[in-house]
Amino acid sequence: VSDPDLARMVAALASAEIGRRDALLDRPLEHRRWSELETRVRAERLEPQLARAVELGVLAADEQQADRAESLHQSAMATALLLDRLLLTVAERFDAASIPFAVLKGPAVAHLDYPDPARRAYGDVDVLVPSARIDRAVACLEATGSRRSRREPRPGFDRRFGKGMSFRVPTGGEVDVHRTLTLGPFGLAIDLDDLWAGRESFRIGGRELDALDRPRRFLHACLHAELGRARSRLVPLMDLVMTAPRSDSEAGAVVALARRWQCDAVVLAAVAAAAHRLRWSPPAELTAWMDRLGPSARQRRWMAGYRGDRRSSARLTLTATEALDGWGERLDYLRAVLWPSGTTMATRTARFRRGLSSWSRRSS
Amino acid sequence: MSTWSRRPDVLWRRTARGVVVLGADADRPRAVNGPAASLWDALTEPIEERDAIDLVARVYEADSAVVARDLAPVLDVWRRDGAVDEST
Repeated sequence: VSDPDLARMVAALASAEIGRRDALLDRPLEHRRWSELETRVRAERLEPQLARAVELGVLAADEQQADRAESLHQSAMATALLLDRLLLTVAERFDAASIPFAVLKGPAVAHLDYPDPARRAYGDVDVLVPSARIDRAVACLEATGSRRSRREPRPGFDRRFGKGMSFRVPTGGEVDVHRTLTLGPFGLAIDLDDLWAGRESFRIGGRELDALDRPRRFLHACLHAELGRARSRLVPLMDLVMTAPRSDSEAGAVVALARRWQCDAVVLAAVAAAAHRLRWSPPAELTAWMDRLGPSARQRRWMAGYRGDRRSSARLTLTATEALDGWGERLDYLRAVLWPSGTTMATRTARFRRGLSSWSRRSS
Repeated sequence: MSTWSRRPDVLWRRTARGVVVLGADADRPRAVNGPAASLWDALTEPIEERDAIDLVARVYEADSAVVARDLAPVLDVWRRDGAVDEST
């Protein structure tokens, strides 16, 4: 079995989650190859899908491999439970500080969109906070010992332009606080009032929490799948399929939002990626509406900043200005990105030097 | 005889062979398989300990006295972890 075959097998595990039940392997892999498969599965957070494929018998495994698959699933679920507990702690603190929030990604889709929350592994907690409460959310998390991974380039940048920020929590785990759903021009083009206008609740540990509604979760999955990394990871594509419109009205809502948020091109590309990599057939409700999406030349130009040969942070920065209203906003954005404050520069320089000295220690 | 129930704030997930439980007072999640996982299933609604043990014994075609002896420590750990409530 060659490496590309392992890559195909991992994609097929995700594909099986959405209902494609072709046999993946009819005899167990030899143990070294199984270890390589485990590494790929962990990197993609597909432990639940591996365990399920073994349990359903579509992936042949010997006894030891079947035990490993179960153990990996249990370990991934242990992490998810600790993150659920962390989410509940954050929820309690935000409530006490009157900070509204909505849960994004992992915990939200696990409980709302998958047949069983045990079928979705995740590695951090993501919450959306309104722009006007971002500074308060930062202060609230820092007051309890959480440390943000990067400073904002200039005071007020997070609240006005940022995608969000990450925090390391002293008890372990990471909390990402989002202002919008993605970096760069597509994140800035999202109307934040519109983003908050559709919500749905779910329960964890007996507590009710807010998430985005299904059309917004679908659009978030599209943005995450298509713009998050150089190549789509499989879990965001699974999320896309799991949150895909189930009715004509949901599909209509998705298309209307995509047009207002100027992300038609992203939706079309993400749906095509899911269809290709997961061998997914988009539902008729969605395809009937997708003809109404009209990606503009500007959207295609924006996408080039995230993906492919022309991908660069400079391009993202420049195209981001196109999504801002007025020259004042654009100049403030460019000034913050190109000339960060002295404190931010000092922090970045210190981090660079630490990285350099640890590299030179390793080299010697 | 005690009645047992899952606490409403308990966090848990089912896996193919078992269940992973994180009680409110636990430091870390605990995974259990086999009969202990069946016992967790039996606690969906408040249930008398004897009835829960009989349910598991039927599933595994085992002697109730043996099942009761083997599962008593599991219930004890879940109670200490804040995963279940015991009432008498």
